[in-house]
Amino acid sequence: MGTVHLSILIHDLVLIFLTVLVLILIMMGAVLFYGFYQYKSLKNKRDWESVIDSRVSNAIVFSEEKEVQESEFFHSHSQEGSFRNLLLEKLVSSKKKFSGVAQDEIQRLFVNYELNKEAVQNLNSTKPYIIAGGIQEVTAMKMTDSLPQVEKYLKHPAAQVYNEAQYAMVVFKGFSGLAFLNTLDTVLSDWQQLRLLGSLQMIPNDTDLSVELWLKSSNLSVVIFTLKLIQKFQMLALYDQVKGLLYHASEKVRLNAVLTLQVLENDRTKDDFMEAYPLQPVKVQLAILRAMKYSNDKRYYDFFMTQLNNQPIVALKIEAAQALLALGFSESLKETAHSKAVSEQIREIVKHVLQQKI
Amino acid sequence: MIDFAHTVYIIVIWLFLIYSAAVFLVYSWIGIYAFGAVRRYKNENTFTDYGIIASNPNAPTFSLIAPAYNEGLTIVDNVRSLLSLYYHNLEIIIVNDGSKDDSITKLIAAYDLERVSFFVQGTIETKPVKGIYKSKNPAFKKLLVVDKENGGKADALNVGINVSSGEYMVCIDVDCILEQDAILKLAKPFLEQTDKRLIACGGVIRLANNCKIENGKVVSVNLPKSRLGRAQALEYIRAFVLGRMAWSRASGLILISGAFGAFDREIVLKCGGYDTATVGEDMELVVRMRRFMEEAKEPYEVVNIPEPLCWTEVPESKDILSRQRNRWMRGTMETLWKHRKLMFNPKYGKLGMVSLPYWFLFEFLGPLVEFSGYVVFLIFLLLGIVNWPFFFVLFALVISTGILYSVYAVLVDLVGRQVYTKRKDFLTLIATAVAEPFYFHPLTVKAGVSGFIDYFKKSHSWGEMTRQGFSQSAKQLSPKQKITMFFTAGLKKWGLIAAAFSVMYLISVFVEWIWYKNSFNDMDTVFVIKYLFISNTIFLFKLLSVLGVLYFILRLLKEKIANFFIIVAAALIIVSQYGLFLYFAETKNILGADLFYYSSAEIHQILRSSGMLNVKNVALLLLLAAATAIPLFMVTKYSFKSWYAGAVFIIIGFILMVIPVHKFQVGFISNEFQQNAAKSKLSYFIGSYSENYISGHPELFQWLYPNVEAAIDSNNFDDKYPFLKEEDTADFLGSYFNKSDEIPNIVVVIVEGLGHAYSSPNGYVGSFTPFIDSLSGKSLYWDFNLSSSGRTFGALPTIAGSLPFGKSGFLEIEETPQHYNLFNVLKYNGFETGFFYGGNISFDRMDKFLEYSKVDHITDQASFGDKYQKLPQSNGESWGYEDQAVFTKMLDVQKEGNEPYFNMILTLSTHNPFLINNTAYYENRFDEQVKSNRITNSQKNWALQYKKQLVTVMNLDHALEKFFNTYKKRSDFANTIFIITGDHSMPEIPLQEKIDRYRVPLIIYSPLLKQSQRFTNIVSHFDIAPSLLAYYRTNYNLKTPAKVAWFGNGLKGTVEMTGKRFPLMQSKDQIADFISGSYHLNQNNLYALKTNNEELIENEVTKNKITKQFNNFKQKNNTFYSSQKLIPDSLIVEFFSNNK
Repeated sequence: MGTVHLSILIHDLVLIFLTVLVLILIMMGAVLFYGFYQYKSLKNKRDWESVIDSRVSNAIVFSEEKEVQESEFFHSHSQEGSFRNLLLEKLVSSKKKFSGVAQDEIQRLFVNYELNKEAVQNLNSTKPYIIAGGIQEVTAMKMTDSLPQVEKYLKHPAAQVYNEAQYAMVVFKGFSGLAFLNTLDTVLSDWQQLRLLGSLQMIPNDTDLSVELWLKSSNLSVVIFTLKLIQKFQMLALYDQVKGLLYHASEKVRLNAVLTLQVLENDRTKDDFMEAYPLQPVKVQLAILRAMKYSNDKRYYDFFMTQLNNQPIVALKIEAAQALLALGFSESLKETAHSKAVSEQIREIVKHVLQQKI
Repeated sequence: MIDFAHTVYIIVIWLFLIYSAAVFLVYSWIGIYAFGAVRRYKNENTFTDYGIIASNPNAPTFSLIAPAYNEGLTIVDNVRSLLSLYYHNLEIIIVNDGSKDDSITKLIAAYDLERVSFFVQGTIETKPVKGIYKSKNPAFKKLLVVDKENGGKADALNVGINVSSGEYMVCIDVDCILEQDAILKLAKPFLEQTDKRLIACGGVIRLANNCKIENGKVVSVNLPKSRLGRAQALEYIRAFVLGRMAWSRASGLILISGAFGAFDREIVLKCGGYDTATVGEDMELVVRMRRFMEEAKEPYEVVNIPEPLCWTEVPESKDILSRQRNRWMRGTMETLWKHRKLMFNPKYGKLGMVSLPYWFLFEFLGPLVEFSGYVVFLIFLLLGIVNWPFFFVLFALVISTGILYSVYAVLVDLVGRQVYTKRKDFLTLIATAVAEPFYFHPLTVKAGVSGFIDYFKKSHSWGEMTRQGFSQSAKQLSPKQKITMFFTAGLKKWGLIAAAFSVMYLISVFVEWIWYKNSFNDMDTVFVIKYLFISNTIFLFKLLSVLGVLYFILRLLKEKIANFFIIVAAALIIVSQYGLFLYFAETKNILGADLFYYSSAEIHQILRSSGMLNVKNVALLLLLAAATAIPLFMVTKYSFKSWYAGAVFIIIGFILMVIPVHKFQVGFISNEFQQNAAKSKLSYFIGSYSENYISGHPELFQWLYPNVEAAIDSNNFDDKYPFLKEEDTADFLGSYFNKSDEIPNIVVVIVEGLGHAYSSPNGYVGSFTPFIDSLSGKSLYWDFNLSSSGRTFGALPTIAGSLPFGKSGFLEIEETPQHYNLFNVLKYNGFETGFFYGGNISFDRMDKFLEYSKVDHITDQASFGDKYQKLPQSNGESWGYEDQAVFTKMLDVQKEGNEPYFNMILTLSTHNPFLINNTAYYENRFDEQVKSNRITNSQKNWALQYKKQLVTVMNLDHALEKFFNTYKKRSDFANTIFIITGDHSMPEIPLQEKIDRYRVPLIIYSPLLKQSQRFTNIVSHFDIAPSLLAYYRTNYNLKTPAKVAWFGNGLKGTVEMTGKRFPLMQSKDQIADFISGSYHLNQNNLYALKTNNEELIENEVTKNKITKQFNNFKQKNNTFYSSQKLIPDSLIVEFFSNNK
């Protein structure tokens, strides 16, 4: 009985597998077909890219007066959706690379081919990456009409979209574009901070109030970004507020505060550092030592010597020795390197700092 | 019969199918999931401007660590290539791992290096650093060269980590060629981290073979020229674009390739850097980092980006490729073993519940399962049990699925980031996808398997080393410490061995249950599995205690001997367990020590004709032995961390031996067959063997059962002859017979396997003996007659001589003890005697008994000629002549005129394997019988299940009918008494009650009968000989012995049962049943015998009384067996020497 039962199973399995096999073969055919189709469209794209590249470079090199005859090819494809999108993409990326007249030429091509339609269309898409592309396009092409829509995207759930919107706001509006920081509750990644800082070329004079507000933000990434902003634009008036952050709960904020104070340096800075130093975690102490290294103030010889000799943490010793070297105590260090009075470890550290040849 | 091999075949196929289905599902998921991941990455990074970090001094510092060993030929160019990477805050650390070539001098010369003082801050332990070099040329200020003593790649990387100062580190193989923007692209995910900490990031690695490389840059991408290279190009696409991307998206990635990966340096340092003890340090590090983060409960991620960032040369020779794959396999195993605690541990989240199990089941087991598939296929091929259409379809399916996956990978790669841009390359990749499963894949499987083996070789040598260490330190220990150490070390090992063995044993029990479930439709599966597991678990613990003690004793001699013993014992036990349950499934009889009472030739014949003994089954049992021994061999290399488990495994068994656990064992709600099915077959076998041994040694029996009263039977003459008694059987038969002028002849027909259940309308299967039914209506018929044994061996001595059993049946006694039986007493009175059997007369040693009795015509298969027809063969073996032939033979041999005569016939057709000639005819008769109104509906259910057996019964009945029809024509018919009975019930047809095994019909027919009569009281085969002799003594003045040693006290016709006491022997090793009056004692259970059945009753007083009687019998039986004397020689000599 059992045998018969099992044999039937095997028989059924053969049929099932045959069906699956046929399905798999059909899928293979489909994948192959789609693969060739993809390959072809990629090849097209590559061909178009070279055409577009030459069109863009022609435009830049020969500019408006010497408008070259549009190639037959370019003309015939200029109404094709995928071609236009590629052209748009290319123009946006080219625009970032160039400046001045070349940028204007690219802008002119953009207007000539009426690519703003595509950009708006992209902006209205439901797919985050297409919206992000659209924001980049309207930003690159300075389509101020679309600004209100971009502003709405600041609250979009997809990181890709709101990051791009933040960037666009700053590009369009400069410092006032940073207003979104007032209410920002998502984390500004390091990458995004670099982008925002990079796109901000100048700031108006009456910024201190909003900056002060951001320094008090509960969003750590906003505080850190603000510190970087203060560094970049050397906003000296905010020295005290920054100094206060040396005692912030977050280590990362304290670190950035040290770096910022170093930039905003005044005659109180070293004392502030000395005051804060004992109360800091190692990473912040390291940053303080590193900042003091450039103080060019020989009065701190004893402090650094104590750190070198008595500090148990090796990284701090090394940093102290490096500071001594930077302050011009190389002779003294050379002596220490050969002094029997100090430990082997200290001698090694000093040699390391002196980069002695062996 | 269910073919054992076939079922194993099905099970094996299913295991492979389930695994394949799992592989298919997992890879389908990978394919779909990876596609999404690749698309998302591409969409998110279309407009990325890496310029913002390339030269930004505020970007984080990366330390690139490249270990180099004997790379002198290319190292200068490689370093130049690294120096040209786009990234401002980059530190390039080249670690020369004690190269034997001129790598370091070349570097010094090419980059104007000088050795400098360098204080190494990192604290990971490494081989000593010989020197650290920096360039005098400021153009190379990013470069740091470390010269160290050789310590392997992991050690060199650790030195790099110690020396490095960046926030992140990128570890690469120095011979890798990096894309110029590789660091930029790797840096982005680190800079983008928000709520989860990114601890490691990898990119796609592509093949540099055959690519055009200028100034350390790949300028023209080509597919490798060799087939192996191309296959690897495809493999890398599959691995990096599909596998890693899917796992990255699912946050389950645990492998960042050692050739190119970036890590958070802080976490690496906290984890202690690379593990130098493994060959798979890259995977191990990621697992350890993830483990660290899981334990610290910090959110984290490990990602892979689908950017081809690194180009590497892959091996294009089979040898080097095999070595690489061998190493990968070992690395995987080392990592999985090291972090085994995480496996299926929910505390470790996805890492423990998904990633590691995936690696274990698919990456590690994959090649092994595939390889075992080839082996199994080969075995099936040799055994000729390959189902070819199934094989071909499955093979095509597997291959085409593989091809689909590869082609799909090429497509996803195309969508993601096209590397192979030439049309020709695209086609070549597709062609490779089709061809690769046939030449490349087998190679990787082979290398994987050899890596697996090497892993154990290595760990073996390790084991040796640690043991040496142990014994050296042991030398300095005090004796007490040494003993403690011996026991704890032993218990740790034993714990693991016992656990592994238990798993295998319980699997076998599970298989047993599945087997019964498939074989017996009418089984109560819940009941059987419950008690099967209870009984086997109890037995398992007892077994482990005994084995554990033996293991420790042998360990005293040498660990290897103990291990060897345990492996062999385990293999034997597991194989026996399978063998025993298959025997039960086949015969529905539990095998006990009766096995030892059959000669090897007899066993051979039984096995051959049952179809169980064939190459396939033997091969499968050998395979089973290997499947037990190999894992146990591996297990002996390891031990548990604690000794508790080992101790528990030993102690529980001993506790179970002391407390009366049999109460928890098989319940009584079920019929006997199910109770037997639920027993541990191995436990039964061993128990039966030991009881048998004890009963063979009366001194042991006395010692074990000192309380048995030596109750003296009133008729008993002598302690030396415990069964000797005065013959005082009353003549019961005489009143039913007409007195004849001539002394009547006797013909006894003993039908093999003729149980009451299917030879009487009252039986639970219904009557399949229409002729016997009609005959019984004209006869003296006892409805409740018992045979003396559950097998054939008891029939002859009991019916002919009412004889006791001895240790394992009267026939088994080497020298037949002097006694009286129908043959020798009747022969003495002038009868011609004969015994007719279609099989081999030496079976059960019947020939010795008959020769002792000086039977005139001992007829067995050797005496039949061509005229007679044999039974059909099964596996080339026929039991002998069909019943028709045996009956005819008797009529041919027994001539008319030679009266009086006494003939006994033992039939054969109704025996396993139940093959008869002319099956179709009897199947027809069977069908008619089933359809007739003689069979009730409940009987019909039984009958249809055991059609095969019952068809042979129909055949026997028909043969008997023909025998009588022929006999009637003879002159001697009118003066002959026929006795027809069965030897026992067929065990193949499940027994409803214990007593059913022995319940067989008894019919006495003769033309001399005055009347027919049906008796409802219980009689037994023991009663036949005394009654017959009493009849002849009383009615025909035959001389019969005055003192006898028989059990029966004659057939009776009344319900009165008192005084009847006799044992029943289930099998050659087991006297487990005792009948006393209307009670039946079986294994401490008392049953009341009713008119048509028996009932379990609770009556302690009666039970104790009967138990005493039973023990009394046993003691007598033992005395008899040790003296082997039933009747004093003098009495025998006196009886037979007297003239009539």
